Amino acid sequence: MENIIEVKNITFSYPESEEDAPAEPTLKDLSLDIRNGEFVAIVGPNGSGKSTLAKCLNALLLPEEGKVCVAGMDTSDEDLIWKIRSQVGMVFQNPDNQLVSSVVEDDVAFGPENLGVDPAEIRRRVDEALKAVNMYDNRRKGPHQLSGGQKQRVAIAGVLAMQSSCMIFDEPTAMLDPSGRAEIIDVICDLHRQGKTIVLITHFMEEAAKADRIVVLKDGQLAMEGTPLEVFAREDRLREMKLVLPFAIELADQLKARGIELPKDIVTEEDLMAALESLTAGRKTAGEAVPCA
Amino acid sequence: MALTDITLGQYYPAESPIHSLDSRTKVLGTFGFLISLFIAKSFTGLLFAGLCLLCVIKLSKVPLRFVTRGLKPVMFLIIFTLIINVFFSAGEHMIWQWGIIKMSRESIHRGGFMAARLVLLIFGSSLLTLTTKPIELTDGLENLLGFLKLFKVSPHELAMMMGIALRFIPTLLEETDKIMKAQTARGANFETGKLMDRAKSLVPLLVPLFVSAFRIAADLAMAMEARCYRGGEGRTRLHALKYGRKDLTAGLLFALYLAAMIVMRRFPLI
Amino acid sequence: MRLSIENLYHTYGKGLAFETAALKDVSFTIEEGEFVSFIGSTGCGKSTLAQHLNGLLKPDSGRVLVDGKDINEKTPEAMALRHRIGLVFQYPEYQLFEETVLKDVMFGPKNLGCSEEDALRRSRGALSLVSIDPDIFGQRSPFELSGGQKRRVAIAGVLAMEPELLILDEPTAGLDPQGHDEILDMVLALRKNPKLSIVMISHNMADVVELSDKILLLSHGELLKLGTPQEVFGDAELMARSGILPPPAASFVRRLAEKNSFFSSLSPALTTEAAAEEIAKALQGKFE
Repeated sequence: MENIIEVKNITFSYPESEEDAPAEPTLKDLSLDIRNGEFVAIVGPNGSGKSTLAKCLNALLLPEEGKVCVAGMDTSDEDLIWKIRSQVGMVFQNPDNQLVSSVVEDDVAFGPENLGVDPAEIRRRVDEALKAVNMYDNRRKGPHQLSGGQKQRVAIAGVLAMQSSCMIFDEPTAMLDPSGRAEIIDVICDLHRQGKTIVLITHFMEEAAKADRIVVLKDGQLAMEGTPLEVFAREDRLREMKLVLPFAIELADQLKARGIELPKDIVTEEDLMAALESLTAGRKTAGEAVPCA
Repeated sequence: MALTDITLGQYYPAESPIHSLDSRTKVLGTFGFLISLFIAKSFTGLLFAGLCLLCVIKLSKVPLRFVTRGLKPVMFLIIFTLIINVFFSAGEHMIWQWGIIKMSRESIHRGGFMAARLVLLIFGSSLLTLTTKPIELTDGLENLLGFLKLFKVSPHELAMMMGIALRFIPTLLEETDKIMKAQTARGANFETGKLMDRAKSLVPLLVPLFVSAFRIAADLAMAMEARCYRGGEGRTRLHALKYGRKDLTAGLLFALYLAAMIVMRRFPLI
Repeated sequence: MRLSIENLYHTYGKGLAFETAALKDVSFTIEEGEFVSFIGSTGCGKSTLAQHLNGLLKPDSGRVLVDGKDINEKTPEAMALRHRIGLVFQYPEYQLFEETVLKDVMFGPKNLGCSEEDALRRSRGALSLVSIDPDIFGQRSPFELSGGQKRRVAIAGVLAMEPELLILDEPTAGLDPQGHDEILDMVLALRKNPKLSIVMISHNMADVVELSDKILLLSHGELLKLGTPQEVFGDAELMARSGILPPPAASFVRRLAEKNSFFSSLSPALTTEAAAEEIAKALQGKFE
């Protein structure tokens, strides 16, 4: 598979505003490749440089050293900036502060309008994008009439309408309630199935567990990288970084600590359920067990 | 919540002939209507204007109470106009007088006339924002204000700013309400006290509000850039502005209306 | 302090087209030192209810009583009662406004009429309670702090008013795991004060289970249940009706009992430890 994004040894630091601001760069000599159609989750404690990295991927920020290439285009090339940004769309954390228009469908049209797409084509893309996130029936509403999850879905539709092949989500669920969070994760998984490349920045390990690959950042550097299974296996490192493991892994660990033998490849609740099923296959109900002599 | 009562800038979604008119037609029509109110010299004219406006409101399918809600914030101004004109202006047929306060048949007539004109003015402009999406409105204005380019002012930027302001009015009102409540919970008092104290008591409200507004602005600018916004050059529109047959019909009807208003100025019935 | 709510009704947008009943006939009591969590899906009336507890919103009918006295009367005594109840809003860091952290925290006590020294003493105390060292951070601008620190300073601003009932509206919303843990530790520490009653609104059911004596479950403005975590989350029918997801451990144990006949008589568990204990017991009872 081809790489859609190639990050080569980038370093980035924010301009110093206060005298006691850390002199250390936010990103340090970081390299990362993202393959076409891949679902990558980026996790790490606050201040580890996750959001900064995300903004380097579509030329919202330019690295001081090293370079970022999107579909072969260098982000430091000013002539390519709009092509890059239409390729790599972005959904931000705050559902309110990224919607531009007072009407849902006009907001979704904002991206294609900026790209100079023909009005009839915009109409088609807007309708399609709104249907894809199940917001077509709300197309005439104003953002202030929508729930947080719905607003995020509109923001996602706005990126879909630009026909980006890669979508970056910068903590899209941080400000949502559990049902809004579930809505958005469902949409993201759907988009991945349809072949979009997904980069999801999150604090929630349950969400990261759905990715093909997890990248853990710490102090602007790559701390760990691998499939969810590989990353979650290194619990001590994760706990050190104050990252919370998914529930199924926590429970499996506690069961192992109590002497229950379980396979190593448990990530989701379904995995654990299946493992317990095979342990108890053919046995009767626990309560009705014959007391041992 | 008193803060969210403001109708200005609140679009009422509906499918109606008025909604589907080109926004430029509506802007010009509203502007013309406002001028026609100043052409009228008598109640006849205002009554006719009011009846025509009522027909347009009916046609627009916007419930009357949404239109009348626009009065609330300017009620004070209307009452003030009424009082000044009724009690403090000269007239021949005195009805009642006490010191400088006097009332005459003419002053009552004048006061009523002025107030009625103000009310129609508000209704007319509310109807424009109620039937026109803010984005269409700003597009229309951008187009109509095209001549500003001659003065090195970008009409696109003006229109964009207005559109964004409209978009964030509800958000900022909500934010204000939230901060006021939070500071009240910390014992702040926004309602009573001397003028100086009240001015000072606004600091805990205004500082967080400005911080919020700046945060929103920074976030929004980032989001707009990410969605390839780069000014008005080369932009297309989902709703491309196009005058149609409807606009021609509306224009003709409006011309008839204007003619009637001018005739009535010459021959007032009441 | 004992807080009682009697037959509370509240309607938004009275007389308008979008009139909605936010609270319908809600009655309950919070005892001194009790920790009560308000749960329910977004829009169920949790925040509206919380804002009634300190008089920010007035009920359409019904009463809010502190030790038997109505807090909504127009007397100085009622005002004093309202000041004994502290409310921390969602994202409270957005209300910071002073030049320094200490000045900001002193805003509340000064509004209560405390002297400069008294306000300073209270504020230093409140900052220590939220693990912000007043000697290090006191003179800094609150806008220079990290997200989690800002939030703790904002909470200190309410704690400095020395409330007897503290209401926290989603205190951990939007924080990263570390910020979340810091707030949780702070609440755990506050909970040790036997005089302080705490109300917490939360969507994080694991936190709710860990902290609460009682849980108040709201749905569409109606009180569905006030009971212990076990009573609320153990009631499958109630959970389904309210649209709330129980803590992950509870849902896992329930699903396991339904799907795997071996575990069909597994007793409900609310925490990960309890779930592990139950499952291990069942398995090992069989192995021996």
